[in-house]
Amino acid sequence: MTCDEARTHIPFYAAQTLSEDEGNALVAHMAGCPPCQAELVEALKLAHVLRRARAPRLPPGAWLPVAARTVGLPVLALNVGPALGGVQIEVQASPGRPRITGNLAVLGQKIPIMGI
Amino acid sequence: MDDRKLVAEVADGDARAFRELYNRYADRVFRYALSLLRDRHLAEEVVQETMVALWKGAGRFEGRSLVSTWIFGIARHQAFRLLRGEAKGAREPEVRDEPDPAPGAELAVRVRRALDKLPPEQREVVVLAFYGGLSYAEIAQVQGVPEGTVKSRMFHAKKKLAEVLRL
Ligand SMILES: [Zn+2]
Repeated sequence: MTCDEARTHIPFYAAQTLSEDEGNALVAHMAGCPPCQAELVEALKLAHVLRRARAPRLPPGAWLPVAARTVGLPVLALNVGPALGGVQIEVQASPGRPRITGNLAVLGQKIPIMGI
Repeated sequence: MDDRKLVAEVADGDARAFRELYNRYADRVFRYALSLLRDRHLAEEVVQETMVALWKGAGRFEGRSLVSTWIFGIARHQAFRLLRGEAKGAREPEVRDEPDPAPGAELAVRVRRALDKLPPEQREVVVLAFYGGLSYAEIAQVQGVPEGTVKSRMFHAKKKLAEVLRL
């Protein structure tokens, strides 16, 4: 691997999106190349700053308009708890007929509750 | 569960699988859309349209591309549609620094200003790699350019950001 190749891969290494093979080849090159090591330090600082700069997040309610147009809004959520084997169900008010989705845990096995 | 399985379940109309897919991608798509449009409301609209398109189109996902590139590709298409003003009620993107009292906000503003100094196609590469978790091959698919172009965009973007942010 040449320094030019290494330097185009270094930012992706810092972003943790290189494949394992590419990462290993890059590390092997950098082990013997101080200038590329300096590039890596810079890229890692950039990754750190980007991560620390509180990335913008969706407002919590953003799911609701999506749900309304797809699976339907949950109108009722029940959590019966472990006493009855841990039943958690959600009742959806979907555009079509009402649906109940959820999982019924019986003896450690999850049994899906299909549209009722 | 891997993304492909989730998409297959979404194609069968599984609401929980869809919610899980939303949880995995909504914020990442939001950050990406925000970097393209620079308007929170428009970016939220992109997330909504992208997720609805996923729900409707999951059955047509053929697995030739990765789920991530498929999703970011849809988001990109939606964002450019809004930029061209094709969508109903489209507004001009507004560039502004919203006051934000939360901790870390000052750094966030600095980073946003630094990203704003990049050409759009370079900014897109940085956001897709660092906030979207995409590889250069995946970004090449989303942007529709050769991998070499993505690598060179990233190389120049990193150089410029290191300079502006004084790393
Ligand atoms: Zn080198």
